Amino acid sequence: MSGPNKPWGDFVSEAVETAEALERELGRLDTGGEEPSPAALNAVFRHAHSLKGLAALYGQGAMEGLAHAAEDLLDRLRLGRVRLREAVADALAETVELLRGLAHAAEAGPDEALLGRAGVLVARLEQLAQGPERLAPDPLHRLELAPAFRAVLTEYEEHRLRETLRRRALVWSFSVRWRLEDFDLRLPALVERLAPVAEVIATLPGSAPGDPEAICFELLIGSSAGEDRLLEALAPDAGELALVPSRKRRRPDEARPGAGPGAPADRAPAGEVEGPLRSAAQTVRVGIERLDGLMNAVGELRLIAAGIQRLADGALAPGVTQLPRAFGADLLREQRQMSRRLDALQSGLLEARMVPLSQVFERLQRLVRRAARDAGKELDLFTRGGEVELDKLIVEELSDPLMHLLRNAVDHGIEAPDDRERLGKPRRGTLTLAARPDGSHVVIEVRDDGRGIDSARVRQVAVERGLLPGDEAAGMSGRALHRLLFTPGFSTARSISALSGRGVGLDVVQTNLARLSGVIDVESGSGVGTAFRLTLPLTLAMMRGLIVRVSGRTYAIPLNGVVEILSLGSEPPRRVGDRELISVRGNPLPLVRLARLFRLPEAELSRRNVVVIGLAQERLGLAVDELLGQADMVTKRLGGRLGPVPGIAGVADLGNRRTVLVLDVAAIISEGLSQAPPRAALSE
Amino acid sequence: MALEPEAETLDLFTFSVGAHRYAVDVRRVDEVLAPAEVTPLAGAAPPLEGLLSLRGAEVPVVDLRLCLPAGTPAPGSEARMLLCWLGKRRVALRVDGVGGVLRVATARLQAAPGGPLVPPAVVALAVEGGTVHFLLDVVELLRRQSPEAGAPG
Amino acid sequence: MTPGMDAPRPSPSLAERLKAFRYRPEEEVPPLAMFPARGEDARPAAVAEEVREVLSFELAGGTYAVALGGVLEILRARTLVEIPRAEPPLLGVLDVRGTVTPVYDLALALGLRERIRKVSGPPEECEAVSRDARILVTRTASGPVGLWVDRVRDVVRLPVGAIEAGTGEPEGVTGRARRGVDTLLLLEPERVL
Repeated sequence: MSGPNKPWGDFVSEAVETAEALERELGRLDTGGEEPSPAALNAVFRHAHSLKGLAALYGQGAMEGLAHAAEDLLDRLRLGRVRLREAVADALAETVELLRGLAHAAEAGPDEALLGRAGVLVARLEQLAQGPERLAPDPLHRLELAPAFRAVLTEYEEHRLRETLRRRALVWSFSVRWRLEDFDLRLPALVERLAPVAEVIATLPGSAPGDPEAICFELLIGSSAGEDRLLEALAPDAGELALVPSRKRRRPDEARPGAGPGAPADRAPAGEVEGPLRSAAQTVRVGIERLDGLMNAVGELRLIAAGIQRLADGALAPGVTQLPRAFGADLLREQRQMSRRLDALQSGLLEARMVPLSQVFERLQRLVRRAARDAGKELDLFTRGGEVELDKLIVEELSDPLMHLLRNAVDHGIEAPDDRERLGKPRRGTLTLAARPDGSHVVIEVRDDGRGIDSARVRQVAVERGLLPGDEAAGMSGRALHRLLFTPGFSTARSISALSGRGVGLDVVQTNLARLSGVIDVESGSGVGTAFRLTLPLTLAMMRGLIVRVSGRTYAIPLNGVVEILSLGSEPPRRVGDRELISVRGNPLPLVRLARLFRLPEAELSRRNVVVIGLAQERLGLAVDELLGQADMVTKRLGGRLGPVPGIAGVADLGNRRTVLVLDVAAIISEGLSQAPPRAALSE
Repeated sequence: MALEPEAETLDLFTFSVGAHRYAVDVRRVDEVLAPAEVTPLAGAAPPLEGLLSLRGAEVPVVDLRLCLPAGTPAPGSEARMLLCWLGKRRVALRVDGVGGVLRVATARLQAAPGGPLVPPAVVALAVEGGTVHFLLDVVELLRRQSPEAGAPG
Repeated sequence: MTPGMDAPRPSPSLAERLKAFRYRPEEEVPPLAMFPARGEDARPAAVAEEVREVLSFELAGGTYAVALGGVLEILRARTLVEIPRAEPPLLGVLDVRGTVTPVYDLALALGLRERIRKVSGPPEECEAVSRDARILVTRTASGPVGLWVDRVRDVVRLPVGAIEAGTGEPEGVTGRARRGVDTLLLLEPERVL
């Protein structure tokens, strides 16, 4: 890290990213009662430590202090001096949130409220670090297990090994060899036979047997019975039994470099430490602005490509004799290659913005747990498809609608545990959050096994609110009724809890989704449950566009292609041949009437608006009828059978289901300028 | 085409057929269905049973019990149909019981030995909690069932 | 004896086999003889004899049909998003469940009309849309396309024997079948367009 001359933007992005990584690792710690693994604790500790250093470098005193207190508490956790109770987990979760908040506020300077909270939280963390309970240092590190095996043990297995050692029992390894016909039945038989005297903690792959009809395993066994008793229980299965010893004292060369003095063995085995470092080095942080800049560069290159295409077309036109046609063919081929490269570059850039949904899913897990606790409901949230990737902006925009749907499910969908029992349902409700790719879309489903949508109530509320006349509502059923839930102001909750807010209904979810070109659908069975299905396109780039009207049609011009906007006075444009020019601050500007270019009926208006579009050095004035403002939009390619449409880059959804065509600035400039008068006529 | 890093863990969905336990990539499993009525299909040979009508779509049903070694299912297991993705299509596979989701480290997997003593189309073994799970390549398994393959099946 | 001398990393061949084991939507599923037809989820063939299910509709007074399996959706016809400088028979595009779908004037493509309909652009330029008109969203090799038809009739199950080969004129008519008093002309949308 270089000195504090780096701009604030870098600090904030680095700090926020570290805080997010911290949050992720913290989420893994929350195993609900079991001892957290050393690997996870180490990861969390490392992140807190980085954050502290970063804050110190930028003079962020409050952040530094908070990170330091967290670091202390985490250190004690991984040394086994403090247990991960709920109070500790909650405090750490709050700390991460506050750290993130402080990071964002860094540039402007944090307000009193934030500083106050930080102070209180530091005191709390220090108190928790004192901890009433003292645990013995982790005995697992003294067990002489090959590091490679150590690396593949699950956390539960490590826990069982630890427990075995704490009970002062011994760990044995049993190499067994079985025939292929029945090995999968002999293993459970052996486990059962051992049950009275020993626990099979892990079954690991054994070394390959010489015999192709046999298979070998290594079993790790924990037992306080003597060797004879063990051999007796193992008897029918032939193999080698050996003790896995524990070292008496920690060897000096195992000390963690840079650890505090006198710290007991807390080093993670070599294999584990390398892993995370390696993966960290393989990722590179790229700001979204930089990516957008690269996208603009692609746009400029496209302009050049379009120009080359015109040259080639010109050379290939029948009757042209000045240039050999072979030249034209060569040029066209080069242009096509360049176009292909540009496509690849563009998709590469779009992909760089893709992040996995697990980012949002993990945050939602914690939220659901808290919401369930507050609402007194017992439920499990299963997630699937966290590895599905979407554009970063979309993933961020999704967290609100998904949170809303999940909260609805927790508050109103899933019944109270006693009610569920009475209904013959399992006491614990099931919530599923699943994502899967589906062609060029992603489908995200939020499903619960609760009470389902009460059709009668929906009908009633619809009539009460005047959304439907009574008889029409009576005739409606199923899906049509459920779609009513998406109309504004609709909320059937009898008691609106503090969590779900007032009347913020599904219509907001739908509107938010529409801005992402997504759709939402609902399926529900009374008493069975409800499933919301969100369908989103995979690759989008959100951009800002200038909306214009020409001959009664509406188009969007990407704002990054708009140089300025002029208003044509009463002075008519100059004609040179069959082209038009206007004068802008003494300089000539070629003018193209969009209506004429698109062969639309032209309306003669006294005043016309000219949108000056440009890419690289080229400028072109585009005459339109009206300017309707700017909008954020998501562009979809036309694609498929349609192929490239000259002048149109794609289609955009302007939110309230208004679909407009998005102009291809490069193509229009190229086409427009090819009609431009030769340079000689311009310079006058 | 991005390089896929070697994933260190694999999420599996386990089920049983006969006396053995199998596992498939959890992403393959779309739904678990209770056994339902299957419309027989003209010209269909076992293990293809026919078609299942599922919310407007017709899904082929394959009885996995005819593709894998026989045996008595464990007591208490209930027959189910797994709605699985094969490429972009779905197939319903009839099994004797379902387990659950299991996460294993790929380093813990053992390559499946070859030979006739191991069930067909098994690529690896995972041992968890004293139970051996055979990781099943269902695409390969069904390919072998096809009459063109000419395999003993 | 310390367990596990060799590091338990998956051997190369195991890694390869795991690749096949993992699910990818684009994985190659061999054309298994057991799958009755192409496409996503097949339709059941009649148990007795082979029939083809088609959707029949009206165009400029005549009755035509397309394979039912290729029809993804039937939408009420409405004004479309205009594509400037569009070449007939393209009428415009429509957003169907998030996918931009081109819609074509099928009657024009078959030579049954001379002038293309004007159903896109500002409302005052559009002609009235008949209440019965529909857009059939059908599957093609390059994606879904919409076909503008005057009226949709019904689903017909034609025994294969009743289908005669088409004369090839006009382009895209692949067969004809008699059904009651009507003659159905079977179309292959890809070839027509």
